[in-house]
Amino acid sequence: MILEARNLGWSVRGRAIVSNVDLAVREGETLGLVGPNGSGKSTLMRLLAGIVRSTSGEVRIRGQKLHGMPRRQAAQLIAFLEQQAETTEAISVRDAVELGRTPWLTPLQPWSDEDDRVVRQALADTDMEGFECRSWATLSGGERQRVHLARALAQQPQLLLLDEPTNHLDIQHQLSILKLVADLPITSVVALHDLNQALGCDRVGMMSAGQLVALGPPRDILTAERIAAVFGVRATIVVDPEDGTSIFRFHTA
Amino acid sequence: MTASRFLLAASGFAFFATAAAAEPTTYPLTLENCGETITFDKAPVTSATVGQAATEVLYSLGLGDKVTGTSVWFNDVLPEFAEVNAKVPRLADNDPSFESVVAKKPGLVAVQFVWHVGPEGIVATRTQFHEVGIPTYVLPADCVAKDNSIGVDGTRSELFSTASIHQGVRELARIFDVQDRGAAFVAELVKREADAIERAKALNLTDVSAAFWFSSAEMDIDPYVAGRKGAPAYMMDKLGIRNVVESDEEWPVVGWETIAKANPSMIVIAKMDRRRFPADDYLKKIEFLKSDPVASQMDAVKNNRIVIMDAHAMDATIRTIAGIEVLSAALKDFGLAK
Amino acid sequence: MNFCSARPTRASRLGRGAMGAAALFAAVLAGTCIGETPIPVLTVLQTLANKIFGAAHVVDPIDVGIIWNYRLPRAIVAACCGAGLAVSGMVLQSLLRNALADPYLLGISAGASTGAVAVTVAGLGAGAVSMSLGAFIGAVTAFLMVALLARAAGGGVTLRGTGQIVLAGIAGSQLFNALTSFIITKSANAEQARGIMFWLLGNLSGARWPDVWLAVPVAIVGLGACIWYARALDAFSFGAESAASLGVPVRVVQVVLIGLTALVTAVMVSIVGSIGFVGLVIPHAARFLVGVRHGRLGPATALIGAVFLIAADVLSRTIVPGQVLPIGVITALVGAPAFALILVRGRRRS
Repeated sequence: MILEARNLGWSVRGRAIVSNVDLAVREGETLGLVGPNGSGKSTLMRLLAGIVRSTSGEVRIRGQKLHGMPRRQAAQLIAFLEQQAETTEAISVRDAVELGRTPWLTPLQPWSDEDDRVVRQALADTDMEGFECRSWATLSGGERQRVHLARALAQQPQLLLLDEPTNHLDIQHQLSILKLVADLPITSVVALHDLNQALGCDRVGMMSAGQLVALGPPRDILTAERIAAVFGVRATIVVDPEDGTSIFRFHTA
Repeated sequence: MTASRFLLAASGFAFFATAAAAEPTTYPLTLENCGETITFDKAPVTSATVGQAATEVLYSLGLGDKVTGTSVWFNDVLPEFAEVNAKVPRLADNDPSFESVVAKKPGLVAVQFVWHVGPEGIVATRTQFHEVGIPTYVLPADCVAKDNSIGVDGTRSELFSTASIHQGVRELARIFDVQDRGAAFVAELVKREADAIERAKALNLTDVSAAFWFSSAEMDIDPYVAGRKGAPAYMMDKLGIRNVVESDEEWPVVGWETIAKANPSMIVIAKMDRRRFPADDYLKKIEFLKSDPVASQMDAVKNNRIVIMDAHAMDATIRTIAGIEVLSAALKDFGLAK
Repeated sequence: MNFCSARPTRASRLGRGAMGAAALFAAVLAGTCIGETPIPVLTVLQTLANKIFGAAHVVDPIDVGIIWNYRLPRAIVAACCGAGLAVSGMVLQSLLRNALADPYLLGISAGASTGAVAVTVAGLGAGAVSMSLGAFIGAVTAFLMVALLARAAGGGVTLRGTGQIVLAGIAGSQLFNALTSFIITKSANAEQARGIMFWLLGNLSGARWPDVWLAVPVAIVGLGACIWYARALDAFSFGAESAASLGVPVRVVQVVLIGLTALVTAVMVSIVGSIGFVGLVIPHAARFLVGVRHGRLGPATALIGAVFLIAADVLSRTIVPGQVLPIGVITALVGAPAFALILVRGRRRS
């Protein structure tokens, strides 16, 4: 059990945004989080990353309480990609990826060859070799998301948290980012918008009104009844004649 | 200094009390005053003042009983007028409001500075006063050959002269129909000035220079010194002293570096009641001159040629004449004559 | 702009450091040689030799005083203020991710003015408090009010709310500017108001050795903190949440650095008044020249700020003979075109 949330909740001015979430992430799995807009996916991700402090319950990473752990130590274990992190600074791709080494460096423990190696590897893993000297402003949306992913990999985390990494990307880039994540040998939790994409995860958790209402293998969780109840749409399953996989088709309820 | 000035002023009173009567004013009286034409059908019964210099001119003319309100005070009133002044209400220590002046329903508002009642007047414009039927008179010392729209304190196009002070005294005397008193007072001012100049001439001075230090915003910072067109410049010009400052502004800011390199023979420092900046205190000024590593090296400081002068004498006022006397006396005391 | 220069070796880093130190030294020397009045360079060098190495050249004591007690401390204070203000501006721009942030954003300049005016015009402190101390107290008071307001306005709920700090700064500045106007119109006459204006635009003429002993450590602490937190500042490139996920203790860094920049700025303002432009523009100029990584950007910003302010001060003393212009006028007059040039050139190169 790499990450464990118990009775996790977060409320602001008396209104619960996330409540009573119990969740255990298994070593090596890719866990998808789905739910309609405003169901608390992003907040849950930030709670799991330790960026937002829970108002009830707790998160444990490798058995240790996340709350109270120095940020630096937490960042050595967990990398978090928020939605659409942008900058107006004239930063280069290599600059951006090198940021991933931040939790491993101190003023007294400066940059080393090992850090260079990790950055090169992260760029290679995300197919961004040769882009090192490109300026951030000249990158496409898909390239930016890859750089963010490379930055997260340069953190050498044991757990990767991705909040809707395919948002605003065209379909080709959506698929390539997801494939990249799926192929990584690293435990990850991915918040997803597209239920068909969630079908490819090892397990899926479904959020509704701040609660985790279901958790399990995609086939068991993503049922027509549950989708109708949570998303308010009618879903039918269609089989792709090319490879025999089934996909959802949605209709207004 | 104060005692001698008191004696002189007192003798002045005696002088004009016995002086031969001048022509009485014929009304209606029309005057050109700082770019406006003003008319009087009869002598004003009362007057409010904006500016200490205007107040003191009226007191000098023996019109203290007609002054119903004063404002804009820089210093204590001249000691000879303390008694008269005690009976007159102060509208404000600084700038009065338009309404507080109008409320006195004065027959005249006598003003020292254009910036109080000029086109950008902070009390009101002259037109505003005229619209409610109150005539205004601005002392010509602040507008003759002076453009008040340029620079913070205005900029003079030619060297100030005490003639503009005399003009103010005479014109106010005409307005109030006390021309004999005015003539006598001017005669006294002219005589005092001529005597002081005469005493300086007798010293046969060559190449004596000076700087007038008014104050500084902070003790060590560049000081405000007298430019070459204002009242201090006139004093120096008349007494044959060279001003080391070369700026047409009334009170330019000049660095100590420049002043020290010019190495004036004497330094005149202003003494005032105001305590807004530490350097307002003339003792602090002396302390700075003696202790500053650069200023203390100047000949004027080494030889202790420091003159302390009433700050209001450095403005264009009737006190300017007393300033000339102080400076003239200092020249003699310092033994600068060769 | 070179986005991908090779990582500097130890030798090239030392070389750059030496070049920076040489530039700073040359600027201070120029500031000592050039002034309101002409003093031969030889006299300047002889004076410095006498004072520093105990040589025994014969020099006019007035010249000695001007060189050693006016110009040299003035140049050093200018360097410290330039460096301090520029670094403060850089830190705030990075932390708040706002290109328009400058050291006066947090109400410090407005508070300093109010403090100075309260002491000089309204006579608060009855002569026991100098204008500088008044300015410092005003600056710190204004900053604390702005910080409390920002906190109360919800800057503490999520890491996303840097907007509150900017808005609180605007509110605080307006309040203190209004207070300043109130005090001036209530009690000042024109001559005083002029003294205040002169000071508000910045004035280095009062800089002496005691100011040096205050400004140098403050500038060094400011720059030191910036270098210590260089990687944390880098991590703010993609925002505070991103910095937090990179292991930066965001709250701690924000409180320490904003507090420190406020203190550095307050000290500088209390010594020389509110010199504008340096804190806003120098960091941008430095970014164009050395890039956005704070390990290099911090020292570069400090160096450019220091050299720039010395140069501006020299110009303010020499551009109109016999008269000293407010340095704030020069920083903007010279700085704006210089910055425009950097902007245009930077665009062409990128």
